[in-house]
Amino acid sequence: MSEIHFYFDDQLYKGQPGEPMAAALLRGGLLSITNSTYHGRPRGVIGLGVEEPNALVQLVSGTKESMRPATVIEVAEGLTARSLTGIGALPEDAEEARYDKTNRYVDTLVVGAGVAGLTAAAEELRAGREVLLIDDQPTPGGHLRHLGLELPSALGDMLSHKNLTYISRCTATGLYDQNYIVAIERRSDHLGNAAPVNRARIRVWHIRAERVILASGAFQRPLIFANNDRPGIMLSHAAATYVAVHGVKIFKQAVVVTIDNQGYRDALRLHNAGVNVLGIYDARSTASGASVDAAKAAGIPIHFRATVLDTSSNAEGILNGVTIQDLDTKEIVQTATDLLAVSGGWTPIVDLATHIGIKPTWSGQHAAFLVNHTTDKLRTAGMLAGDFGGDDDPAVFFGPVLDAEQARTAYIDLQRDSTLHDLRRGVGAGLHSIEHIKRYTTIGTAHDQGKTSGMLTIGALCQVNNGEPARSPADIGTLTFRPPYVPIPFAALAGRERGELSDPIRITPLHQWHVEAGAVFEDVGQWKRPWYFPKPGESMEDAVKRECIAAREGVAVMDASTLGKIDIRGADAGVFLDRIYTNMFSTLPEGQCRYGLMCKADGIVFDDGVTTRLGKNHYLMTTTTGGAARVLAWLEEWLQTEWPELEVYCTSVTEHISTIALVGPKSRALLGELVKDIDLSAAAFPFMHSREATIDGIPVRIARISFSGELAFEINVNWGHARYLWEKLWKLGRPYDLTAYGTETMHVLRAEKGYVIIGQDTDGTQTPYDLNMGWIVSKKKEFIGKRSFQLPYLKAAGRQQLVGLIQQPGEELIPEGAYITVLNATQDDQGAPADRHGKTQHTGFVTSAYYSQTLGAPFALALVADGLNRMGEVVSIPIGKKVLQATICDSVFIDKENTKRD
Amino acid sequence: MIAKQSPLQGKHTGTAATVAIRELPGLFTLDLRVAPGSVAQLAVEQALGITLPAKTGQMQTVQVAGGSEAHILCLAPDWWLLVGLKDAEQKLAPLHNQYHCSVVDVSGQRTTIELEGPNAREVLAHLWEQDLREKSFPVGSVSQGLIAKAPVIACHMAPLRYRVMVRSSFAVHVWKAIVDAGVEWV
Repeated sequence: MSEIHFYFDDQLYKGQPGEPMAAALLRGGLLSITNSTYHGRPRGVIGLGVEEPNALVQLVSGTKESMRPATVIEVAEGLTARSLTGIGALPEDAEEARYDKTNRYVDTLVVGAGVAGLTAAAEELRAGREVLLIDDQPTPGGHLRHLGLELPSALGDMLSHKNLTYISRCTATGLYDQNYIVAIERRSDHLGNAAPVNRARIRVWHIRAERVILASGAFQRPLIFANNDRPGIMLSHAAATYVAVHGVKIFKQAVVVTIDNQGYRDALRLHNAGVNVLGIYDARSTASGASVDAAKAAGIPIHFRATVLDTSSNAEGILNGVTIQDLDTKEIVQTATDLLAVSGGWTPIVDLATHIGIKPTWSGQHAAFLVNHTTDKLRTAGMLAGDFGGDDDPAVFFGPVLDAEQARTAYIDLQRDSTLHDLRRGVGAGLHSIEHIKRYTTIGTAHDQGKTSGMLTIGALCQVNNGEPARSPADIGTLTFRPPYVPIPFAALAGRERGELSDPIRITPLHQWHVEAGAVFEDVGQWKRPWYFPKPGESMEDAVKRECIAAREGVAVMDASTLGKIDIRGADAGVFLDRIYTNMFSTLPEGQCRYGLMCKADGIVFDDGVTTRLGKNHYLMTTTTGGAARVLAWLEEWLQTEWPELEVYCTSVTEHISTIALVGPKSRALLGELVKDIDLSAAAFPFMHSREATIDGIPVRIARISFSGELAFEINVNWGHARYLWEKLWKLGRPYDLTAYGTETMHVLRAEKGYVIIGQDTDGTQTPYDLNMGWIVSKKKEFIGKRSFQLPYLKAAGRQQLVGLIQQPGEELIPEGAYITVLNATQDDQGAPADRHGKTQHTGFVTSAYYSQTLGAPFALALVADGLNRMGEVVSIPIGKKVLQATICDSVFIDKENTKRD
Repeated sequence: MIAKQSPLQGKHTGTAATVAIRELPGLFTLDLRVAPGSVAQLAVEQALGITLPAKTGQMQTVQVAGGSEAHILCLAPDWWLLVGLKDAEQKLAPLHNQYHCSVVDVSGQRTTIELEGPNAREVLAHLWEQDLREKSFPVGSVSQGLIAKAPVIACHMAPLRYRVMVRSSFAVHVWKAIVDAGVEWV
C-alpha cells in the first residue's frame, strides 16, 4: 500500500491507509504529544481509540476541527495538525464542509463489527432479517484488527450478503426509546485531498430498528499510581498493538503491570516484536492459562502480588523508570524502562444500553460492569455481555495504596488533570455519591466523558472509605452515561438545515416580480412579503409616503396572496360560522362578504378576516396570513370533537387562490379596463359584495373589500394565473401611474382607518370590547367565547382598550411597544420626574405607530387603561431620557363616515 | 385559455441512471371529503364509477380515457385527493346539493415533484423521517409528513419512483432541499 504523508507540528510523518495518526506519530518517535491542560505535564498517547484521554490535537487542514484525539484521526494525504494543550479554538471562518443526515429503518441494527457483532449479524441474516451493521473503525474485525489478524472467512464473506449493509467509520452516539439510534458516519476526512466536495463529511444517521444488538466491545483501563501520566506509559493492549501491528520500534524494554491475563498476552506480543520485557508484575497471587504458560515459556520474568507504585522520568518528562512494590511486604524495587504497559482490566462499553435506562451490573468475576440483557427488541453480545473470550481471571484491583504526596500525581482523569488527591478531598468534604464526586473533581467531564477514568473513580472510591465500611463497585455504581457517546460537531447536527434551508421560505406566485421590482422584503411567519418598493435613491419613509399617496389619491396594488383561505361547505356551514365568529354569518346573503372576528373560549380575540358566502351551503373564509394553519386546526377541532353532528367540511385553499388587492379612487376605472363582463359601478356592485368574472378567459372572483377605507377590489384568481393577471394589470395601469405597495403601506392605511391587526394591536388578552368592537358581538346567538364576556375580570373597569394617539406635526415617531405613562407625573424628592424612577404606573402601550401623510403627523394605535373614557387626555411616552407626548383620540383617524370606499 | 404557471416552471435535473428529479406541473387535483361508509360516499363512487381506497395511506391508480393514469389518495378516513381525474368535478358537482360531501378544486394548492431512479429512495430518505422500506411503504402507498420542515404528501408510484406533493408556496424551498439531498447522485 502507498504511504501517506502528513504534517504534525510542522514535522513530516508517514502513515499507512486506515491507520490512526497516533500510530504514525509513535512510529516517528514522538512520545510526548502535548502538555496537560492545568498541570502542564508532558503527555503522550495512552490508548487506541475514542477512549484516549490525552493525545488531543488541533487540525490545521480541512475543517480545522479541534480537540480530536490522535488515536481516532485517520491519516490522509494533506492532513496537517498540531499539538493542543487544553481548550481548542474554533476556526474563524465559517464551516464550509458539507454535513447531512439520513433516516434508515431496518430489521436489525448491530452496533460493533467485532467478532461478537459479526457473529450476531450472521445469525440475524440466517433468520431472514435485513441487517444494518455499523462500526467506528475503518475496517471490520474489532480486536482482531488490533491483533493484526484477518477476519475468519465465513464472517468476511457475510459482509457481502445482499441483506446486510455495513457502514464503517460510523459511531452510534445515542440509543433512545423504541430502538431509535443516532449514529455519525465520518465519510470524507480519511480521503484527505481526494474527498469530493459534494460528499458530506459527516452523515448523521437516524436509525429505527426492530431489533438492536449491542456488541460495542470494551476499553482497557489503566491503574492509579503515582506519576501514572508520563509519556511512555500506555495501556498494554495499545502498546502491543502499536508495536506489533503498526511497527512502532521506539521501545527497547518494557515493564508490564497487570491484573488479568491480558497483560500476559500483550507482554508476549511485545516480546515477539523484539521488545525486551523486563517483567510482568501481576497484582494477583497466582495466574493460570495458556497466555501465562506462554509468557513463562518465553522466559519473561513474572512477579505475583506486585504492582507499580511510582515512575520516574528524564528531563523531558518522558518515562525512564518504574518503582515496583511488593503488595505484601511493601518492599520497593526500581527498574529502568522506556515503556510501562498497564493492563488494569477491561471496561465494557455500557453507554448505549444505559441511555435507555438499563443499569449495568457489577461482576466481580469480570472485574467489570456488564450489561447482560436479552429481550426480543434489544440484546447485548460480546464483552459487553460478559463474554471476555479468553482465559481471564481478573483481580478487582485499581492500584496500590498511595500516601498523600503520591496521590497528588496519581491521575484519574488525565484530560482534566484530576488526581486521587482531588478525589480524596471530595470524599473528605463529605461527598459520597460518585455523581457528586464527578462534579466536585470534574473527573469524567472532558471530551472523553470518563471512558477510562470512570471505572478508576469507582475503584478509588472503594479504597477511600473515610471511616465508613468499605464499599464495592456494586455499592458505588457507575456514572450516568448520556448521549452523545462521542463528540459530534454542531455543524453535523445542523446538517443541511442552515442558510436558506434552515427554515422554509414561503413565496407567492408574484414573488419573482417583487424581486425584480426591487422590493424590500419582510418576514411574516414563513412568508416573504414585500415590505415596500423603493425607487432608486428612495428611503423607506419616502417609498411608504409615495405608496400611501397613490392608494389614497390614485390607484395602488398589493399582493395579498398570503391571506389564509378556507373553503367551507355543508348544510350546516352557516350555523357553524355563527358559532365560530362573534357575528352572524348564516344571515349573510349569497354573493356577499362580511368581516368577522373569532374568539377562543376565554373570550379573547383570536383571528379575523372576511368571509364570503359563495352559495347556499358554501363559504370562503379568509384568515390572517400568520393564522391560516391555526384557524383551520381550530375549525377542525370543533367539528371533530365538539360538533361532529354538523355537516361541514373545511378545505384549505390558501395556495389555490392568489389575491391581488387593487386600491384607490382610480381602482374602478383601471379594473374596468381589465374586466368587461360585469358591471363595476357602485350601484351594481356594492361594497362587501363578491362577483364572478373573467379576464382573458381566466375565471376570477372579485370582491369589494377594503382594508384601507378607499375604494378597493380584491381579485381572486388561481395561483397559476396570478402572474399573468398581475402583468396585465401593470400593462393597463401605466396611464394610471399604478403603484405597487407593501406591508408597511398596508399597515399605515389600515391604521389610519383604525382597522386592527390581530397579533399586532392585540397581545392575546383583548376581548372584542377591549378593541372597541362591541358592534361585532352578536347578542342574538351563542358563539365560542361569549360566556366568558360575563367573567368579572373581563367586565372590570380599567381594562386596556384600543384607542388612537395623535402627535403634533413634526414630533418624533413613537417606537412600537413603548410604554405610556400619565403626563406631569408627580416629581420625586429630588424634583426629577417620577417616571424615571418607576414610580408612575404605566397606563398602556403603543401597538402600532406610523407617520401619516394624510394627517401630516405621526399617529399611533395603543392599548390604554380605560382609554375609551379618556379621549382628549394627553399622555407621555418616556423613551430613554426623552418624554414624547400624545393625545388620546378615537382609533379611526380618517373618513369616519366611510365616504371614500364607494 | 391562458396557460397556468407552475411554482417550479417545470424544473428538472438529474438522470434516471441515478436519480431524476422533475416537477410534474399542473396536475388537476380535487379534494374530496365524505364520511366513510355513508350514502354520500356511495353516491360519490357511483358518480365516478370507481371504489375509493378505504384505508388511510392507500393510493389507487385508475386508468382514464386517453391512456393516462389518475390516482386516488386516501389521506384520512374521510379525506381523499383525486389527482388527474379531469371530469370528476363535473360528475361530483351535483352531489353537493343532495349529500354531505365536499369536492374542492385544489389544483393550484400544490405542485408535484417526482423522483425516479435507483437512488430515489435514498435521496428521499435524507429528508423523510418515515419508513420507506418496501414492506412498510410499498408501491401504492401515500403518507403525509414534513420535508425540510414543509408539509408534503409522499406517494410511492412505482418501484423506483416517488412523488412529493408540496404546497405551492413551499415548492421552491422543497425543490431546493430535494436537489440538495441528491447532490451526491445528481
